[in-house]
Order: sequence, then C-alpha cells, then structure tokens
Amino acid sequence: MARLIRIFYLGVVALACGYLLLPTIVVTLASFSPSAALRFPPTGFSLRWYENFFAREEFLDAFGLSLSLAIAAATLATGLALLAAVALRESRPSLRQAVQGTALLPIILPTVVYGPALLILAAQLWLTRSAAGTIAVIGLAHLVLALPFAIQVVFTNYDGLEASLEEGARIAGATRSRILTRIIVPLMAPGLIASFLFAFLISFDEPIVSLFLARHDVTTLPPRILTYLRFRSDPTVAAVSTIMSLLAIAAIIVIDRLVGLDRIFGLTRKD
Amino acid sequence: MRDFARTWPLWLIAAVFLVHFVVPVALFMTLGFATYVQPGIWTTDLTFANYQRALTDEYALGVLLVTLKIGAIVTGLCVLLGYPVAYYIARERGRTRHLVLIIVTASLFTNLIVRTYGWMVFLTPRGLLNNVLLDVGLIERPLKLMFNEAGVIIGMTQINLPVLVLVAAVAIQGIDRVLEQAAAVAGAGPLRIFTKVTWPLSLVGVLSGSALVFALTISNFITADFLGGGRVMILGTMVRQLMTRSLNYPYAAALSGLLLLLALAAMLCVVFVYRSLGPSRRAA
Repeated sequence: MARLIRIFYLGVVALACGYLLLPTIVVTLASFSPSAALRFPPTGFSLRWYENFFAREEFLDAFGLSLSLAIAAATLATGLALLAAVALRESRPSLRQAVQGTALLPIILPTVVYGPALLILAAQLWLTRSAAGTIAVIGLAHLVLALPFAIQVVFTNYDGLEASLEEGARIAGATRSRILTRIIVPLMAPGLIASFLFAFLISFDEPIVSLFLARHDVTTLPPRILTYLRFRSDPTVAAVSTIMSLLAIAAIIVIDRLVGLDRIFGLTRKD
Repeated sequence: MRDFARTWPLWLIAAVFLVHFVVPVALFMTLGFATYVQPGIWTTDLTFANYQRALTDEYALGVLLVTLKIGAIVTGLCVLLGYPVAYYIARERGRTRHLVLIIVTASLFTNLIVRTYGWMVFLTPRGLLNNVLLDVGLIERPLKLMFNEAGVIIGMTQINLPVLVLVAAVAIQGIDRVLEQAAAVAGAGPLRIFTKVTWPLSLVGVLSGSALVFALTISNFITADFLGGGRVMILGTMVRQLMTRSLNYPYAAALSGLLLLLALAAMLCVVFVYRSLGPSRRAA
C-alpha cells in the first residue's frame, strides 16, 4: 500500500514536470518547423521563422527597447538593493524584514491594476505625450517590479558575508566607498550577478504594464508579440518565444550555480 | 536612520515606491468613485454608481461568476498537482530533486505570452495535439480544446502552478521533522502522519500560495483572451477592455477595486485559517 502511494506520488510529480515543460517544448518544435502547420514527428527543419523575426524592424526595435530597459532596470535594482543592504547592516532585524516585506507588495498586486493606475496618472501628468516620458514611466515600473527580487537575492547574500571582514577593513582605516568596492562587491559578485539576472528577466518579460503604456513608437517586445499574434498565426512568434525561453532557462541555471535556488527561496535544509 | 549619507539608498527606494507605485494605485482606487461623463472624461463628484453597476449589471455579474469559477478551478487544480511537487522539493534530495526545482523556477520565469502561445500551438483545432491524435487515428474530428473555458483552465493552471509549488515547498520545508518522527514513534503510519501532521502544518503555506494563484488567475486577461478566443471573459479582461476600448476609466477602476477586494478576501481566508489553527499548531 505504502509503495503504491509512493509510485502514485512520484507519478504525479513527473506528470507535473512534463506539464510545466510542455509549452516550451511545443514552442521550440514549432519554431524549427518548415510549415505553419505543426506535425509530430517534425516533417523537416527550417530556420525561416527566425529569419523572418530578425528581418522585421518592428520586432528588432521592440527587442532593442526591451533589452535597454531590462539592463537599466536590472542595474539600478541590483545597485539599490546592495546599497540598501549595506545601509541596513547595523539596524534592527525587524526593520530589514519590514523593508523586505514592503518590497514584496508590487509583485503581489495584480499588474492589471498597476498598469491602468500608472497609465491614468501618467496621462494626467502629460508624461505619455512624449516617447521619452513613456519610456521613463515603463522603465520605472520595471524597476519597481524588479526590486523585490533584487532585494531578496542581495539581502540573503549579504547576510552570508562575514561582518568581520568589513570591520577589519574599517579598523585598518578604509573609507566606506573603498570597503564597498574592494571588499563587499568582489565577495558578493555571484549574488549581484544573480540579482541582476533575476531583475533582467522580470523587466524583459514584463507584459502587462508595458502593454497598457505602449505607444505606436514605444513598444517593448512582449506587447509587440501580442500585436503580431492578433493578426497572424505563423511560427515567427515561436522563434522569438524559443529565444526568450532559452534566455530564461540559461539565466535560471546560472543563478542556481552562482547562489543556489534553494538559498534564494529559503529552501535550505536545517537538518 | 541618523546619517543621510549612509541611508539615502533606502530613502530613494521608498521615494520610487511611493511616487511610482503607492500614489498611482491609491489614486486609481479613488477614481472608482468618480463620475463618468463620456469616453476618457470624468468628474470628481463622488458616487457609488460604478461599484453599484459592477454588482448589479447582468453582464458584469456574468463575468464575475465566470471569474470566480475559473479562479476556483485553477486554484484547486494547482493545489492538487502542485502539492506533491512541493513535497518532493521540500523532502527529497539529490539530482532529480534539483532538476525539478530548476524546471519549476524556469517555467515561473518563462514569459507569460510564450507559455500562452505554447498552449495555443498545442491545443488549437489544427494544432500539435489534434494533428497527432488524427494521425494516429484516435479521433476523427479535431477536439475542441481551445476557445472555451477548458482551454483557459488548462493554460492558466500550468502558468500558475510554479507559484503554488514554491510557496508550499517553503511551508513544508519549515515543518519540524521531529513532529513527524514523534508521530511515527507513537505508532502512526505514513498516511496518518501525513493527514494529521504534515498536511495541517503546511496548510497555511498552501493557502497563501492559493491566494496568490487566485489573484493571478482572475487578472490574467492575456491567457483568457488567447485561449478563450474572446469568448471567456474574466474580470481582468473587462478592466483591459474598459481601459482601451470604451475608455470608461471610473468603471475600470471600480472593477479593479473589486478584483483587489477578491484577492484580499482570498488572503484574509489565510489569516482566518492561521488564527483558527491556534498557536500550538502553527508552523514556524
């Protein structure tokens, strides 16, 4: 009986993993399919949908904007999270928990509420009249959404840092900025890279806020894909989807190697 | 907090949150009580008309019902399918367990649109699944797996599953193994240990995950739109349409408020269960 239950339990786990992987596998298959209709086993191999993606200016522009915004948001989020962690070094743990907890709010609030809220206020302030204003509003929103992840990763990583190292450097007469650049940043490099990658993914993938704020001349990649999907159904979207999935998987594996997913999610074993 | 030279990053973060998050959301919520004049225009005369309309209008009530139904089914399926995975991540060791954690995290960070599109390609009448089934001869006509509620539920469950798995895994991980060992010593079998110790102690985590999944599901108009083919309307869809097509901003704000209230109600359920468990049964 106990054995039967265990087999059933492991079966459900395997099934769930297959279910989770399915859309990514399907998208990858579709992206290399020679025809728009998808068959299994594949009838051939073609890169035409990738060519089509890279030949379309609308996609490339959106890709470029998404990339710039993601790099900016991830850099700012990681930098701010690091400076905040250092600033909170000597404060009470309750204050740090409060900061960490408050920072979670933007990922708990549905973006279908956040997006319209930003759009209305930005429009009232005439920020959406210009392309630059729109980019700034979207970029700051990405920063707000990426910060919770950056704070979580950087704070966890900073906790693992030996306080005595900082102390020693200070006694030896090092300035605060010198301690930061010579001791903290090098020692925390893995954590900082992990934070950057998380924040990058959040911004690069963010569909909803960007969709509400998008203008004809300012559109990030996810809303651009949605527009394309609405009018065509060829696998060009599969090509870009495969690229985006690969990016996500690669980033997650790198993050795992650098700091460990267990540590980030608080799954480290006590026993 | 004494010297600003050291604490300015905290103030900067607080300022960004306030200006770019708290203020817009708060103002948007008050907009739900403004008076609609014509598309894109409203006055600040306070009214409950928008909320009243959301709760009495036949169309809105229909949407609300479908929203609750899909939200409940998706959340339930996520718990059924996600709990074993969470348990596996929290309790097993080794490479396979690590791989499962990577699969769950990677799919959480795979773009929402990409995942929705993957399901479209898989489920559509001339899609992968139907083609394979037709080729094999299992079916004669394509199955209708998309452009209906079933398609939306299949997609949304997959999309929100990682959230439940991760939150529940942390809860199961937090349970003190000594309690389970004590139950075993007292003579309880594995099944009894699970139903009497592990499950109740992880319940708060499961419910927190469920509340998150519920909130994410009822807002996800992208998946509802594409897998429902415009036929499955949820609250998120209605907000989106009011914002971009009818431009009735106060009504959109009221529906957003309703959406938040539903999400909040789901969260309050967690608090209620937490309280009712009593201090002795609360997990660390």
